[in-house]
Amino acid sequence: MEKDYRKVVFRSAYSGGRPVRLSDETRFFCYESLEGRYGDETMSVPFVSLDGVEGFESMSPFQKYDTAVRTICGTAPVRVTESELLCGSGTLGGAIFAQVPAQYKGNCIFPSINHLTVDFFTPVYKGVNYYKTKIEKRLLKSDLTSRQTEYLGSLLETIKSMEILHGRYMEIVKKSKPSVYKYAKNVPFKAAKNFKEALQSLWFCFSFLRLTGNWPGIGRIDKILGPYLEKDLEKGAVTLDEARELLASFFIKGCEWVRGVDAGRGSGDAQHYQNIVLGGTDRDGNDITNAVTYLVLDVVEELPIGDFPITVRFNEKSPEKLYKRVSEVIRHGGGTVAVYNEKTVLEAMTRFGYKKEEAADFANDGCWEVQVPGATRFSYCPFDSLQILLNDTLKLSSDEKMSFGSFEEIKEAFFKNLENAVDFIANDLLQGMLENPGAGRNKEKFRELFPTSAIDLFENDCIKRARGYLEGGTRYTVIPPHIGGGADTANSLYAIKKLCFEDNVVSLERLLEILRNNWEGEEYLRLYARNRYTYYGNDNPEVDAISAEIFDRFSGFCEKYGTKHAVWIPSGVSTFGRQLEWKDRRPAAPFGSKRGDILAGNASPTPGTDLEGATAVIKSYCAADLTKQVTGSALDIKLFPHTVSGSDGIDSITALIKGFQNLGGYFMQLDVADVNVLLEAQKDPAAYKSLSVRVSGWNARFVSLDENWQRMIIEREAGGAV
Amino acid sequence: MLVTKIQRFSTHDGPGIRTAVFFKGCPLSCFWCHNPENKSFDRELSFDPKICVMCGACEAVCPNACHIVKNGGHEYLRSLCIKCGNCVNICPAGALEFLGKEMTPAEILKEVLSDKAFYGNEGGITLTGGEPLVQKDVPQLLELCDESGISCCFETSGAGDPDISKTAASLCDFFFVDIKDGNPDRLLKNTGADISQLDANIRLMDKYARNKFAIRAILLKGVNSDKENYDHIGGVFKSLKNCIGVELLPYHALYGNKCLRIGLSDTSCKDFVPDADALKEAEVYLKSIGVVVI
Repeated sequence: MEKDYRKVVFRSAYSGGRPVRLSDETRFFCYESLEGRYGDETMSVPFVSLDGVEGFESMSPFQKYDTAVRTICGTAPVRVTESELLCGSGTLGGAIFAQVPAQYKGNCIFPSINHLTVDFFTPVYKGVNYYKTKIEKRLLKSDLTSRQTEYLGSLLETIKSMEILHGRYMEIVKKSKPSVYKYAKNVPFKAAKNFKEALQSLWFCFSFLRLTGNWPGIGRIDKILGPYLEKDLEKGAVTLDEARELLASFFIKGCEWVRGVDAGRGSGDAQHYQNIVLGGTDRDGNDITNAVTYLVLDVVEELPIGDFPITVRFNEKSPEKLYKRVSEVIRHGGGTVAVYNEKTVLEAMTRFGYKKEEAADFANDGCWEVQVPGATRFSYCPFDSLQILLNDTLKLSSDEKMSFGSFEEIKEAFFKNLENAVDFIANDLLQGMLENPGAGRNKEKFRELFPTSAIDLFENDCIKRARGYLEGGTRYTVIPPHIGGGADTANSLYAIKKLCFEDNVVSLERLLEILRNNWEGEEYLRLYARNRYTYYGNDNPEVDAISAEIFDRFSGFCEKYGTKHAVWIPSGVSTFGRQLEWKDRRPAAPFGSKRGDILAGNASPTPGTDLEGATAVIKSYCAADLTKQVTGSALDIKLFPHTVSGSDGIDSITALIKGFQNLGGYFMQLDVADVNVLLEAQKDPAAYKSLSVRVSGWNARFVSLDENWQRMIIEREAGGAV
Repeated sequence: MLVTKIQRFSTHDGPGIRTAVFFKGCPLSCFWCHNPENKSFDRELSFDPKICVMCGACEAVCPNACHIVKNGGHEYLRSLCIKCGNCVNICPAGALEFLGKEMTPAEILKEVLSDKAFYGNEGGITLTGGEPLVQKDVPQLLELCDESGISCCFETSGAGDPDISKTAASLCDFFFVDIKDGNPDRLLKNTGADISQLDANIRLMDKYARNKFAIRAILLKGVNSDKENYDHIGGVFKSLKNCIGVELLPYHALYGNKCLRIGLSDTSCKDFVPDADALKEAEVYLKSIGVVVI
């Protein structure tokens, strides 16, 4: 079939559009992939069946797991697309839903492992056969229990399954793609010798894990591949353009789970935690930004691929060119590239207890929670601080009347409730995961769970400890409680302080009654509370001090557990969209919200309360000591395309990032919103108050413009009436 | 100094991230003024009926019965208002607000310093308005900023006080100067400005400029969109040594509601909006006579 290259148009929030550097062939491959061609195809075969396996039911868990992985590798569809330059594919649809895609009598048996970045350095630099040798040596030691011996055998079986899968692909590409065969035949089993082998090795390991139902992050792709590329460029073995095409293939193949229009809608959780981290320093403190860093930015600047969320580690040594390129990518919108302030992250990790050299390697789990790749079992426990204040402290969901003598008394009562919540989460965790919690960090034993051998192979200490990922096999098991609704809680406390204790607008007893009634018949007071005070996100030191205190106290409560147990319990700040799920459980809040309102996300301001623009939002966020939020604290910043248009727009994004670093920020996502967002903003201006727009020779906040202005800007963006 | 607004995170009012300070009052009276709230040198009360929730709180506290809220409408009788502020203080919706806050240079500096972390080497303060260069404390403000390592920038109509203009040009890293029209009679009639005074001011600022500046020319179809104006812009541009070029801005007719909120009549008129062709034509002509268009 003739390919119609004219169909390939990639949207951008930037009026200048996206640059074109890749070949028509590659661009078309991307277009088809993003249209859902491969995702739909993947869904056509969701699982392999284990029904015909003799004696399956009487097998041990490891035998069942190995059989599942072997059957997957031996019988899953093999996909080699015409345009791809790398081979290997996650062709079973069940994996898209976080499970090992093998069924016995209609049921999946093993769940997926996700929220982690495995160690991809070792397979690329040493080869998977290195693991084989390591396992065989480990088996010779006499300290193993019979379960551990069986466990190590399962790891060897996993490698055999990988070989089966690899063999099936090589049989095809040997004939159909001899050039690919050349750099695919020896990897990932042997150490990669050049850039092409390294990239193929990385892709094959990644796609093997995905095929078997796991969702690992990629981690520091430029640190892994950069040295190979720079050597090859020097030798003339590969050109930058060739390398860009190859990397694009990696990114496009990573979208093979993007499905078409019939896929249904949900939380928009399209990504499978396949995170990438760029830039940053190495263990010696040198910045590693290299040719691969810039090629990755080239690829996502040209192709609107959102499936690989990228975070760039900025530090004092980051090159100016990196700021510029990141800013140029950000202006296209979509929020694909986010930033870490490495200084805060490293300080947070080392202060908490990670070794300095291991912290230096940090990547993340699938969103932005930092971890040491290949050494961390990670999960987190989200909870809502606003419900704690409104329900536990102020008892708004019951008839119990509370009375407090002062604002301080309320705050302290809230902190007591917050501490109880953290204690409950931590104890629940420790009891659930450990056989003997409290026996001491080195004596506590993890409970046995189910096999995860495919992942374990790529986790550093699993072989040495002869234990699985979920059973304490990794060097670190880290499960932080994550506080949500922090901004809403700070705003609520601040509103009580002002309304009831300073300005005496309403008594506390009366306010609580009004909140129980969801502000019914009290619209004047609701608007007064909402509009007369300056809340979190506006650089108002008074309310920012309250939010900082909430975050500080929370992290203090987590520190009671910290690194004292075999399960590490640091603190972090997130909602990840749970503000939707929590909205109906949250009573009306003192700052003017009603039951059912969608409130603050992550560490961002309550929607509609930030009036001073992005710099003030960043300042409020940075008012807390973010080095105390060990796994991270995320800030979402929305910008309008006009704000960041032109060369001064690029400079502005760079200046925002640098300011964020100066002020001690942790993680920030800058999203440039498109026309649809503008239309939303028109319908619901209260939720978009801090969005700035370029008007003509100046800029202004969108909601501060009247209808005529807004319409003009929307029409200009859409290229006509909407 | 009377300040209408301090806008943080301004990304197109000079290099980098800037804090724009809008001063209240302008000696000119351009009929097309896009910022009518900054024309008067006096504090004004702005009423936006679109935000009003008809709660009637203002009516209850007004000593002069300026507010009449009934039948789903809110009438504000501006002529009776003594600007006591009772209504502004009680309005829960923000529909009533004062435009113009008296601030000292030190107070302004304090606000501007809030975003110091974002300025880097490029960003800083931009004085705008209104006409900032008639505010007698502007030199003091600029000196304070300079001492604090804040880069300064301003936007002027050209009708500033010559002494202040001279000082400002010498203390700022960048600035924008308007050229409104090259026909002296039209200029006088439409803006109240004296062309020789404006020209003298531009040359003065050019002479004392610490660094570079740009000319901004607003284009109104059928008002100043002719060669006489462009030739004048060209002549002035070529006589300057520190001007990097001319930025052409199209007139827009979207400031009507801003007029109404402060009790002025809506003078906006779509007929004056130049289309893309007219803008292009002006650009081509200016370039043909040796002007750098930015």
